[in-house]
Amino acid sequence: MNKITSFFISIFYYVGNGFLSSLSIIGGKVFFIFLGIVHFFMPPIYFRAMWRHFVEIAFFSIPVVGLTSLFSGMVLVLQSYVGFARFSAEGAIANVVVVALTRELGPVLTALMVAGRISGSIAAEIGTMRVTEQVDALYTMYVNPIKYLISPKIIAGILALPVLVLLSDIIGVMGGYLISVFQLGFISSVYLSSTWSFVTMGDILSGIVKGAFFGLIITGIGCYYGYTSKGGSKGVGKSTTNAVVVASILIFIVDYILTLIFFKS
Amino acid sequence: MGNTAIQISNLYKSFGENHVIKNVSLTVPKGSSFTLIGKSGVGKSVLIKNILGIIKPDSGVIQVNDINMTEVKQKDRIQVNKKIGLGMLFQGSALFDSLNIRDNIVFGIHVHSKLTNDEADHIALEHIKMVGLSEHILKQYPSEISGGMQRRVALARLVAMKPQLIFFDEPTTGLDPIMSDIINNLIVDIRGYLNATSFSITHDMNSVRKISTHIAMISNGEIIWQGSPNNIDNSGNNIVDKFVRGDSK
Repeated sequence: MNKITSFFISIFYYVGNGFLSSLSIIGGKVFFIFLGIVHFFMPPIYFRAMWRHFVEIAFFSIPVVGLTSLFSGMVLVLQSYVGFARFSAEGAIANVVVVALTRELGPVLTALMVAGRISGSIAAEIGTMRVTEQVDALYTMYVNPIKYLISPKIIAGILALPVLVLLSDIIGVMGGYLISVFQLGFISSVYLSSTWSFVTMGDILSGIVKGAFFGLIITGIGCYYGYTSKGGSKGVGKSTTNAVVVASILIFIVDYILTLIFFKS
Repeated sequence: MGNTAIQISNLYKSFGENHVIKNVSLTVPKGSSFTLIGKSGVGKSVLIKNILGIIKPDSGVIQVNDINMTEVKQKDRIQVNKKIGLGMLFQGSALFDSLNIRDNIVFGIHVHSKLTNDEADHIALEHIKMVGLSEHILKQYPSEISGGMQRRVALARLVAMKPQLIFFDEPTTGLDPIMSDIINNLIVDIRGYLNATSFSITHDMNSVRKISTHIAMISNGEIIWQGSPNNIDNSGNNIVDKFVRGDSK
């Protein structure tokens, strides 16, 4: 009896301990990102630094996001055509493509591409600064490292991703249009009118809102792993990998939660 | 306390089971050049980071210019450090590798008060000359100059902030003897120029003799000896004598 009791107690102990430490890790990340956002709005506001990061995230991600969206739109049309032709519903392709791109594929693919490019880069930059004492040097020059290093990046991410998502939507739809019209023989005006008549402002806005959350995740997670780096170059390498992996996983989880919220509303 | 820059009383700091600082108490007079010596890994850097507020001590009191630093809230810490005028030269120089030398030197001033380009150029030029470097390196990046030059640029950046209490963390580590001597001379000059108090940690005995007015030795997290450069060779403490002679036996 005693052995059974202690067995169950140890199970509860390990499960409870694991649960509490998971909460602590998540809480640490959430609190860190929250601090980063709050500090941005306390004077002095580093607007120039934020703008620099915005350009770095938004402008320099255009080629990779553009190419990804273009080919996603093209592939989506081809795959939809194969399926829809089986029950003579080819006419619905334009509708499906625009909804799939604006609500789901545009935000998620954009976020994943930017996560690969930006999360790791931020983690590496801040991680290197951390292990070479540059973060401590900021502190000794009376500069709050969170405010100077973290806040502008997070705010830039929140603002940049919606812009990229919008761009991705447009390029993706254009990719679908090109294949539909020039390869599958759709009538240009019919395809475009089907697209415009079917898509709603809600579809576009839901994608943009998702983009803002994904921007927060990409930059916030990159900053968190960089800022908590330790153990020299090996530690920075580990932080960089973790930042990309965790940001990518969180993008899918948050995407599901947001989709559920938008679906219910 | 009027003539005391730093007063540390019964300071303790552990990392897990590792007791790095054990009951450290010491006094640093204003205007002095205090040097803490000791072997690697005995808690010298941890002590400095405790004073600066980068690390929080487990217990004890640290008073800087009559301000009880252990009671200062984390959110107020930067403002308090600014009010006191704390500055630090890091062991690895800690220059911002994304900024060129000019921007590194003016960074601390520029971030608090907007400078025109001309003002920034003037400040950078003045301070780079002060540490004996050519103005040609102002456009270079830290990775493009030698370790000794980086240390001198870090000194220029430090002086530009005009600190009143300066911490030097192993200022000559990794430098050749000539460059070490240059850095030691600069430390002495800078302290005189700023009329500041300095707190250095090092295990370079040439540096200790050149820059110090007061010396303390830390061993196993405890202060085991305090004195002046004149009596360090006759300390009467076996551990200090071995350290000074570089005797491993």
